[in-house]
Amino acid sequence: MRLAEFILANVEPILGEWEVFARSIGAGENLDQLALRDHAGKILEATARDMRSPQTAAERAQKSKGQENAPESSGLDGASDLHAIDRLSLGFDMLEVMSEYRALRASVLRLWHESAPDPHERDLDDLTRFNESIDQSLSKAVASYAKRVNQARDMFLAILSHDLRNPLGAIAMSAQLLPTVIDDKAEVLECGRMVSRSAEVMEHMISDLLDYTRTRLGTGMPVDPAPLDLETLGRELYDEFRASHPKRKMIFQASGDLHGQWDYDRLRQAISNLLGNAIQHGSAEFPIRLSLGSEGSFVFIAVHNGGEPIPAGELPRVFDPLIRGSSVDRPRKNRPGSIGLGLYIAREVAKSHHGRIDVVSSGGEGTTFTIRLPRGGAPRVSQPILDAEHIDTM
Amino acid sequence: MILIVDDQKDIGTGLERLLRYAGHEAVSVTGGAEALAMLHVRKPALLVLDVNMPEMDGLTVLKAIKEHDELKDVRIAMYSTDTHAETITEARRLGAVDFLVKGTIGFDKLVARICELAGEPNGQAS
Repeated sequence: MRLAEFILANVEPILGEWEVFARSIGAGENLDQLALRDHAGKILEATARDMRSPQTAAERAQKSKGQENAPESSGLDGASDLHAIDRLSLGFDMLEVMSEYRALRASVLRLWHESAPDPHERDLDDLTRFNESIDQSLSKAVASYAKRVNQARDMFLAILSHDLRNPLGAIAMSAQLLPTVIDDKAEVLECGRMVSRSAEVMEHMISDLLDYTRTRLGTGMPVDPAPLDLETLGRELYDEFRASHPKRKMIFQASGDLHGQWDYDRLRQAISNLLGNAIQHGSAEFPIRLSLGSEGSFVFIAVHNGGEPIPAGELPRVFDPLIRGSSVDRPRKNRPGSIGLGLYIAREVAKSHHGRIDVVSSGGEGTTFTIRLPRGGAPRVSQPILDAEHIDTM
Repeated sequence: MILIVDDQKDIGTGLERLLRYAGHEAVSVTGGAEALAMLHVRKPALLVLDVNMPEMDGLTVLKAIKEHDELKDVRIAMYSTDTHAETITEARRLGAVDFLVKGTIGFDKLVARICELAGEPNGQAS
């Protein structure tokens, strides 16, 4: 059977193999079957159609060299664009998208070879056309992915500049007030406090940004684990949040052995970010619950809030600050003193302790973020862009 | 009296103090619900309203005031970092008398403009 016909006759088995691979990629492990397959079937069908369409020697030469004016299959391009954008929104990075295409190519060729072990002289032509189509589809997907990332990055910078303007404005106001109030010691002191608070807010934003760039560059979040009583830390944060948000009802629960080796500052940062997120997004009608517990060699930290759930489509990307719930036209609103990196940093803190963070959200149950950490908390020197297991399967 | 609504407390109190030292009575609150409650007690000459606020954003507060028979005459000026044309157009459509962008106007001019909108010439107590 010619390869194009084989692909069209075996879309399901090919997608089955591809799905197993996509699920093995970090971002894909929590996705359902539909989300994993999304446009893969259309890419396969468009690839087969492209292979069957007539092609001159000159067109082939252009295509194989990846030239910009190479003939394009509109079906192929459309499916690739959509697939890349969907993958980005689901939290796949560019290498993961590329590795999916490599896996698709490998799945098709393995199944085709198994179906007809004896090679035919036409096979080389089919193989060449197939590779050209997949390469074209891949380059379209990468271009589409990169374009969308650049748009998101521009929007993120716009949000950052907006958010920095508030504390900067408070500092400027203090400078404006000082000459007027210079003889009033209490007012001068208040101006000083205002400058100090605003500087602290800006420092916090810039620290978050540095953490973000450091982890995105692949060097990982540095941690310094030391013996820690998680219950003491949890209660400290609970007391602080209750004091700073007196109108919100909060519940603190702790059970089991909560001792282990973790980085105090980083864990404090992660839990604080989750509590801040619950304050910002949770309904004031429902209490915010901070629960700490023990599960054998692991501990968990769960922060729950009631109110509107996170839309199911946004759950996989809720930890990605460049993508999450925003658009260029209507950027999301961050809470005061935050540039919207809280959940991302909470995830990186969990990962740097060899732990993980999960989120569940529904209309009836509200939203719960849960960090699970091993008690050991060995320091993580650096975090590779792709985990070793992903490279093995590429 | 000029009422300022801004979830960034230092911005609200800072502007309140600038206005007070310019000779005007000013009060600041940090949320829309608190502002609405205050309006039922005393109507200000001008409400200076932030846009991006948690729980109840500025446009929602603006709409609620303009739809309320007893409050709809309150003059409202938006004061925000949000420079999206869509936001500014919507604020104007809902009845805001001005849209002042944070960080783009010097404080002397800001105070003068707020006083002008409040109908309180600068330097005169209300």
